[in-house]
Amino acid sequence: MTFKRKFLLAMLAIAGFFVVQLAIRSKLRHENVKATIRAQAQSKMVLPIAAMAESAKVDGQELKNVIFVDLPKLVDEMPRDEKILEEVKQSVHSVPSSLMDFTVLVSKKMKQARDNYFYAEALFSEFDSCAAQDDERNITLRAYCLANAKRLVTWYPNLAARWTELAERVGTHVLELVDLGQG
Amino acid sequence: MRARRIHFSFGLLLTALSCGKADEVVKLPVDIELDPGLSHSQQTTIKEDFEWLIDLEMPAADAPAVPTREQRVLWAERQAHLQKFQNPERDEGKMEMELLNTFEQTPAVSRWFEEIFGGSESSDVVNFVDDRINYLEAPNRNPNERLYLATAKMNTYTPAFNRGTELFFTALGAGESLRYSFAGRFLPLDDSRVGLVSLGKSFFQISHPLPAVEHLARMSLLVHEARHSDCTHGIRRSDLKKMIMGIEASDKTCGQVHVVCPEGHDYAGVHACDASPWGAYAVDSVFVTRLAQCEDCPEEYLQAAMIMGIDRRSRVLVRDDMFRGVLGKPDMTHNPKLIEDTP
Repeated sequence: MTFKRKFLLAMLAIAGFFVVQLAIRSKLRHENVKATIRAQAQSKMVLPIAAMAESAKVDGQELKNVIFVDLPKLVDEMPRDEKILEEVKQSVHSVPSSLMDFTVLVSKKMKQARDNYFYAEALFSEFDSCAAQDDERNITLRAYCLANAKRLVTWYPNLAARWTELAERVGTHVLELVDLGQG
Repeated sequence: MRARRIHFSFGLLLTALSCGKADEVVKLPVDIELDPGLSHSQQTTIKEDFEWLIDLEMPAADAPAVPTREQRVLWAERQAHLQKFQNPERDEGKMEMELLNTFEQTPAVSRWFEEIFGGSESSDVVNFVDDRINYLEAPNRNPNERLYLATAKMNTYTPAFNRGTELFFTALGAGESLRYSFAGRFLPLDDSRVGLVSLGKSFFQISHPLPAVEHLARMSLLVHEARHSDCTHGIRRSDLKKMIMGIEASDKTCGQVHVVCPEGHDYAGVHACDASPWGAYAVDSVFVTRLAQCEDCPEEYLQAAMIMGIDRRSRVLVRDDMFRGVLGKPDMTHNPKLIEDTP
């Protein structure tokens, strides 16, 4: 092996070492951000985003970039009532497939909300818009959004007051569907 | 010559292998007979569903729900208003106060689960299904793929329906000892728990990124159909006549028959509701809700179970009082007798 080739290999090894180091640091920082957010969620105390960023040793913009993944708004993706009814007519015993599809999007959003209070807060507003639709809209869908809003409260008790207000606004007929007879 | 023999042997081997695959009947972990018309993959799907349920670790039992003062007042107000129609002379305010004092905690889902399935384990659900379903029929050629008693025409596509109960009514109405041909044998139709469930093509088309959701969806359908095998209070001759004529029976608990969803319901006009307590939708709802009471389950599983539970509950027209316990415990008895009407 010539000296030139040895030199090149050595340089490659050094470069590789730095790349791995960078990746580890980035991962650690990501974990640090998540840990900070979890800690503040458990402490039931909401920190302003700047304080969280300071605590996680990252800037605010990076905090958002690390955590948020762009997903469509729930109200834009809610299945239409006519479609749900059509699916029920076609297959009486099945849960309408458009409702099942909707749960996939909600799952993604809930996963993100579990790690981020700010995301959860925004998501709560989305569930609010979905659950508080007028009485003409599909009740299953509205109750489902309300049930998810309630789950957010179990993770972030700060949202309890908003949930109580929402539950009163949507009425008992929707509320009673959330849990077995608890309305 | 040698080459031909090898070719011939290879052909024989292939034939044997393919025949073996087709004829091989998958053994279920329950006492349910599968229609030979079901393909190997369909039989495997059913087997895996039962294995999933048997191996499932049940979530910890939940506590009874403690209603808020506002919820209790609202309930009492509504009950008093309803009772006013029966006793117009009674004071509504006084009734309201009395009712408020009788309000009890809403029983936990796990309690209803135990009442329905006779235990708290997933194996109790397996036994519940096993007691009520004995045969699973392949997706058939008949378009009437569901339990359908109220109207003559039926043109929907459903994943499963309890054909045994439907045929039990037919046999009872005909007053004949009818038999149903299944896998080369003749099944007597003198009991709604003959347990013959026909599967539709869509049963095997249930699809979700998470396999556990597929298992849950199919098992909830079987739990639902199993409940249709129960004839709780027997059947009156007048009700049998009504059902044969396509009119809603007064007592719908024999076969736990569905009703047309009323005006104002999301599914108004569709035969997709239960008017009597603890029917197939209620039982199905308790099953999926209880299985989703796990905090460490995958989010997709929880979400799917949530929507399934809410969808089923929304179809129970008496859900509020039923889950609160006002309408009594689930009656899981079976009495497939024809009752003569008293003049």
